[in-house]
Amino acid sequence: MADQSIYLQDPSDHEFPVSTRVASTYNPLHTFELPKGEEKGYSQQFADMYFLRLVALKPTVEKIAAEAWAEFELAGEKARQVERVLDVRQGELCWMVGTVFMELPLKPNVLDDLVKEHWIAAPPAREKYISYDDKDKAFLEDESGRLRLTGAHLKSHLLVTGCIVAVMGSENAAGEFEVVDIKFPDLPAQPERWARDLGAKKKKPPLCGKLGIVSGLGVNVDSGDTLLHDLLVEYLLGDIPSPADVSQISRLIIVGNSMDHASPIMSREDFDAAKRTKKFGQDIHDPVPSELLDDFLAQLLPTIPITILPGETDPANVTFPQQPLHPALFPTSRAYINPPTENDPTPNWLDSVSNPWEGDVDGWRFLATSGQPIDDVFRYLPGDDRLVMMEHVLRWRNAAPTAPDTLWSYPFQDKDPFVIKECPHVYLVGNQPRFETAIIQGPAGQTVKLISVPKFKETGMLVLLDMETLEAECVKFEVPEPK
Amino acid sequence: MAPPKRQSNRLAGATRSATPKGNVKPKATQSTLAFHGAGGIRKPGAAEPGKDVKDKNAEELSVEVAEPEKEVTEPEEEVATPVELEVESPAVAPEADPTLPPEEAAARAVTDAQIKEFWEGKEKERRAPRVHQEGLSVEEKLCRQWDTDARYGPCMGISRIKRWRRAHGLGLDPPIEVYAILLREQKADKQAYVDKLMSPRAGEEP
Repeated sequence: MADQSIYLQDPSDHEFPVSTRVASTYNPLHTFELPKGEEKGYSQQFADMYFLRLVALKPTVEKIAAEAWAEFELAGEKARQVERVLDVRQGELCWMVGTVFMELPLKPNVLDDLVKEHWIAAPPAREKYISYDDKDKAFLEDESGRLRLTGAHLKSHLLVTGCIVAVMGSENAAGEFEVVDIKFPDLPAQPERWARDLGAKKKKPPLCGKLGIVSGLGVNVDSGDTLLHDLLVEYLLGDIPSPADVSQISRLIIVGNSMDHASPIMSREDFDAAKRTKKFGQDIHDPVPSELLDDFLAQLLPTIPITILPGETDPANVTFPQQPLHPALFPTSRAYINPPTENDPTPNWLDSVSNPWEGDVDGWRFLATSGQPIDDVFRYLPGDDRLVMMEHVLRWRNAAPTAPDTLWSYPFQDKDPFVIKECPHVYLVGNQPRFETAIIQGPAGQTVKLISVPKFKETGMLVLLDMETLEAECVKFEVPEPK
Repeated sequence: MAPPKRQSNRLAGATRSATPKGNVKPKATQSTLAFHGAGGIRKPGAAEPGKDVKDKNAEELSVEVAEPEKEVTEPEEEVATPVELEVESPAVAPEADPTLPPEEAAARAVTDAQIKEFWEGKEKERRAPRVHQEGLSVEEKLCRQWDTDARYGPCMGISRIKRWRRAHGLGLDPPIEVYAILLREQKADKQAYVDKLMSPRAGEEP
């Protein structure tokens, strides 16, 4: 008989090393959460939002412009400030502050939707709203009126609808304003690291690990293989032996589009496709994507705290700012979320937050969005340099400048939360085409790390941000194709 | 103990006096006068509330100060007609209440003469007098001028008093006389005149 001692052995007493995960200090802000129930009204107009934005940023821009152009002289003429856009006199060098409005004929038009309904072939989807011809116009607007901006200098600046800028120039014979120079608010004041957590007490801050950032998980039944997701779970749980120390990853932020085709409002393309196939029960909410995501989260949650933002394809409201994903979508992971009615300010291990989101992780101030504002800004500007667009969004001090023009938004009436009041240390944007990082500097010594996170479903990338040095690296998961 | 009993008496008395006049408005649209001390339980004319009542209402006051137009002050209104209430208001005008925000306290201290003087100042800025406003009171003229003042934002889709509070919150320094008039209003959330004209109910009787 063979040696049977190798079979049926008692559990060994061998002590395997257990590594504990580094703790994550977390202090979110609720800037973008809308009031619930009756306090959230929709009877107001969007003009209030533009007014609030102008009132919030006009003093800053005026100060910057006054300092910059105090001694400016062109052909012996000094520039003076005019209060209202319509006070401009022809031939006089002056400057004023207002909101930029881009009139682009290729912007979404309800007539296009009608065409799509009545004709068999829909016109091809446009990637950008700019048409590179003379039909695109830029205007400067304030409460008195609008003035068309022209000039060769205009092309050297990136402008989208909704930026508050100071424009200097003079009106020409055609009634258009020829631009000489443009100034925008630039980065706001940046809080110190650990400002909100430690405050005045000079306690020693805890040692921090790394932050895992992933976006565009795209979980759904027919979204292809879930092997990538399983690999991600195993990696984060430490099941895969890897050279990196996974216990250093203290928190995971999922930046949008966790579920694929799960938005209750179908996009135009999906709707047209659905109309042709006429499947029964088409418009009923499909619970499968959220169940799959729930399984994914439930595997991770016992060991790692997660912050999840809704995205364009998630079952959250379509208007910006998107409200947190409701705990009802996560039957198993619900145990780790604070119930929505509880007023406990300390978040639990699964924090479902709004999109965009502002908060403190390990002392650093984060501003994260699931990509919709940057994707919309992309449609207004030539080229595909997302980092430049992200930098401009911060320098315009507006997290969603194109809301409410081409980005659906809630009609704010009391204050516009998209105006960035405190400069973040890290600006995260999810669902972008590539993984890119950059560091930008501000006039008062602010430094912001910009990170554009690619879609996990397509690229398999998990971004790891070292919380001590703010260096970003990425881990790539790949499933090799069978030959 | 005592408060609920007084409230029920008040309501009973209110209905009795309201019926002869025949203009009993339904409760839902009942205008509210924002007497600051209204936990809902005070006789109009009672100058100093009892010590214990004040303590009891202290928390309610601090909570309700933020939204004075939502305060339920039915007991006071149903006792007298709108005209009488306006006359009564100076008499019951509270002394400096520390729980009120400073702008509201200042607004309540504004007198009619002050409002008229403010309006004269505005009229002097123009070269010609305003036409088509002969039938309006000074208060209404001032409110309409407040509506169309572009510095404080669009006037459509927002009530006048909310617009004033928003302008104040944003640091735009809106005139306190306008706030005084708006606080004395019958209907707490009065819309701008232009807004009323543009609304679907423009053809109805005011």
